[in-house]
Amino acid sequence: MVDARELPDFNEPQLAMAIEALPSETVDALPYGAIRIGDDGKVEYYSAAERRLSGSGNHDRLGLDFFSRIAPCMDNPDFRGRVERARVSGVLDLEFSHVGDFEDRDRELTVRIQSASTGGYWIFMRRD
Amino acid sequence: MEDANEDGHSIEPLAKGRRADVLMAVPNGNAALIQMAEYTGDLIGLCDAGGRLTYLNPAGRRLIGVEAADIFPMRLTDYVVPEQRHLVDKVVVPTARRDGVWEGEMQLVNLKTDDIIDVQRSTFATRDERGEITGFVSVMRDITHDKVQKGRLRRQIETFEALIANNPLEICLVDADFRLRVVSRGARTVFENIQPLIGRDFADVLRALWPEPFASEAIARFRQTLDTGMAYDAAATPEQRANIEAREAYGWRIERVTLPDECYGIVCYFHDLIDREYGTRALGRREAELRDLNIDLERRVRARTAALNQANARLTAEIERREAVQAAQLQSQKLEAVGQLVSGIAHDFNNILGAVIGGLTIIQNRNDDPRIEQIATMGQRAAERGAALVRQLLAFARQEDVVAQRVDLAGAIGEISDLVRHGMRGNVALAIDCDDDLWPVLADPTQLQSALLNLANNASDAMNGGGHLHIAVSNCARTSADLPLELDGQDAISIVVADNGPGMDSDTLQRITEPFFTTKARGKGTGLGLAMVQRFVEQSGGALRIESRPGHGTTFSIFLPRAVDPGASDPVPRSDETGLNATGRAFETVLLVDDDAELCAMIAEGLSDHGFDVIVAPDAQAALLELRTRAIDALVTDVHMPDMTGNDLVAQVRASGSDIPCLFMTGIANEAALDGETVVQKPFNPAVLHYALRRILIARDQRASDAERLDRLTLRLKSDCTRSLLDHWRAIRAGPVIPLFETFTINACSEPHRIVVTQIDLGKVPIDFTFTLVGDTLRNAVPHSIAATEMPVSGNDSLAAREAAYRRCALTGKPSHEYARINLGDGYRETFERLLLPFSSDGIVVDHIVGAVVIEREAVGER
Repeated sequence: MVDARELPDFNEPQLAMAIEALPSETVDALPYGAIRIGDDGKVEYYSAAERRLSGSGNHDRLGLDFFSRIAPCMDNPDFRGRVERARVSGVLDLEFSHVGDFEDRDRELTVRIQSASTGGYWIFMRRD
Repeated sequence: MEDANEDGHSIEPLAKGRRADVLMAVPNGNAALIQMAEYTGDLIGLCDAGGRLTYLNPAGRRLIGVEAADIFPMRLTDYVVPEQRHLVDKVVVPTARRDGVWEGEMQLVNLKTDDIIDVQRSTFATRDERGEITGFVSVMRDITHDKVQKGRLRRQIETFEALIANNPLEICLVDADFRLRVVSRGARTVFENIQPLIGRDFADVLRALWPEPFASEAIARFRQTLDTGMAYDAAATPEQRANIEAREAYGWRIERVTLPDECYGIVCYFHDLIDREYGTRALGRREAELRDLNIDLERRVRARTAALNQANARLTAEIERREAVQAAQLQSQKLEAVGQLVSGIAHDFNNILGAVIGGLTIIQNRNDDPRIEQIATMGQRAAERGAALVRQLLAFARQEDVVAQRVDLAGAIGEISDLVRHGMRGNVALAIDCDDDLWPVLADPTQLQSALLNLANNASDAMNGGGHLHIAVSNCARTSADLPLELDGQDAISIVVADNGPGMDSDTLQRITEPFFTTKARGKGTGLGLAMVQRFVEQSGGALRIESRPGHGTTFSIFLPRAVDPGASDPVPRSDETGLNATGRAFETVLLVDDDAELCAMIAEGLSDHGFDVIVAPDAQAALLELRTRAIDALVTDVHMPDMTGNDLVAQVRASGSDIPCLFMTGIANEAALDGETVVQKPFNPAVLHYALRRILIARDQRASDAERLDRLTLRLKSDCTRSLLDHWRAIRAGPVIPLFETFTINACSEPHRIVVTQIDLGKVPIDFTFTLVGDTLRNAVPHSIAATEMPVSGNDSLAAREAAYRRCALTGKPSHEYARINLGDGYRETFERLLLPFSSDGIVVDHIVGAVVIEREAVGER
């Protein structure tokens, strides 16, 4: 059994580093989902909480597309270039949240994206 | 001690005697007196100096009850009530001896009736010439009746005075002696400073109460009424009051009355005019308050009634929609069954036709007779027509793969026009305009044909068999202003289908492409036609635009990408790109529990197709483990499983405090243990499960109250700007309705320069947005994107669509909030926060959105 008090909080500033320090069964017990995307954009790891996402066969839709979903006003080539450079440099740290979508008007979702130490990046998803 | 027993012994009360003897005892010459004594009604008794009775007249004998007895009383004292007998010896006789007479009241006892008789007694001493006492004469008058009367009168007077004394009104009673006799409870404060009061000369009282000349005038009025019996009314005038220093001013009326003791008295009724004035004013104030309250209450009732009516209308619409969905599902199932039947028959038919065609081909090959050749050719053509018919049936039943082909629209429209004309009812005039040199499009010809037929039939139905239908096909170059955003950078062809029918209201229009939404009568439409049109357009990489207003007809515009020449780059978006637009559905996670692995996998596939994320558990224990470690939105469980029943599983889940919605699957109809639960009967169509699941999730969402959601949203907000805007929106919102745009005050937001205001036209699909205000912050942040007043519209429902947040806010009538924090390790942290709030001009339809957009950039240390 994992003591919930020892689990890293979703708002932990260095969440990716904290997650990487945990054994995978502990990551499975987190109340939010964790996915690691490789440099090539493929899903390398997904926690049990996020296993359902793999079932849809939509791995390649994950990742930085979340960015354009949330803040389309900033979605321009210049900015995308910056994001890409940050991804390559391993210094990504993004957080998005929104309330309401077409299917569920009261949906509250928060997504964090942080670079992984092994290249690529982590996606953490919390549904409120 | 003449009347007393000399030896002190008790005296025999009655001694026998004779009346004649008594008469003999009266001195001679007093016959007239004796005669008078015999006839008077008062007791007259004579006794000697020793107190022995010598004469008692008849009235006396009656009074003490011995008139019929043959006896003669010895002493009158014996008939005095025992408690007064001592008075005779100690008071009456000595007084009579000394003063000659004693007078007073005394009580006797009637021997016959034992009644007590009140008497007025006078006892005189008689003396001889020498002045010696010779005896006593007692005269007693029965006053019993008088005393009763006086007692009654006294009680009446007491009652009368008590009536006045206890009266809360202002009354006083003055007696015939002009003395104040009674003051009512209501009048006591008026007289409270005058002591003594009761019994005092009323003229003194009035002088103490009022200044001159009013006191004297009042005294004169009272005396006049007492003397003449004429009532008097004195209403104080304002001038009089002004002359009185005290704040009191009285109106009064006096009447002469005859009191119970037959004496006159004056009753004075008076009232404090100032008190009454105050009272009237207070009453007026209270009436005004009551009126205001009443108006407020009526206003609230009206508002509440309106809100209830709206809620009721929404509820009714929702019920109708769900009924329509259920009916459509049934219809869909029937269609599916027909489809399966058709595909089964088609397979057999294809086999048969294959055999026929093959046989005829062999005959043609092996025959030299031209007549047989001709017959075989006819038979083969007929068989091929049959095969084409089978293909059409298969296309109808959706069993045939859809293949995008290069289609020459001019030719295709020509073929379709016959079908359109044929399919339309009544007197619908059809006009078709095609540009010359139309570009070819890349689309599935069967679906294109089906889409156009759908639109034409819908228009025909909407026009109720009469009207004009206009189909216009034209090229739309990539530089055209009319080109939809989805086809940005591509040449396209537009097909416009316009009717002049009754049009649609915005509520209908905004839902017109929803699957199973139909405005047609039961059995007339499946609600799938326009959904199919939209899917076809999306799959073809095109765009659909709809415009309609009540009374102004409806226009559908289909934009399809131009087919490029072979060898050129593929203009059709890649499937993953178009697929991306179709994502963004619900992320609800369903825990599916069933011990039948194959069935479980099939159901999971079905739910995934409907946008659910599915976790599968093979038994109840595994399900409980998943529930402990994961966030699950809904539980779907089989009822009969080896380790635990579904009922027990759900009972355990609920006992742990979870309110997760649960749904049961069972093959046994009407299981009693599932009463009150949501159940789907096996075998079921995936759509049935999807619908039931969606229903329990909607019920769950509705449980979270509106206020709770807004409180939660408030907590999520990051900036004062968005918080102040939401506070303002909540403050001007009357209940769970959309606030009026006219009540919006831009300065209620702490940073008005971050505000954007958008006007919405719900008469178009996708919705038209026009910025009427763009705050400097947003204008400076993205000068190119929001340079024009028009919002760029992409039309798809994905979160990535540029106007999606605005559209979501418009369609849901709820706040929309987004936040992004970006740190790219280049020394800056950027934040983006956007709160969009719906407003309305009529409190019902969203026609404005007010947003606050916060974009900030601050320097931070590099990671």
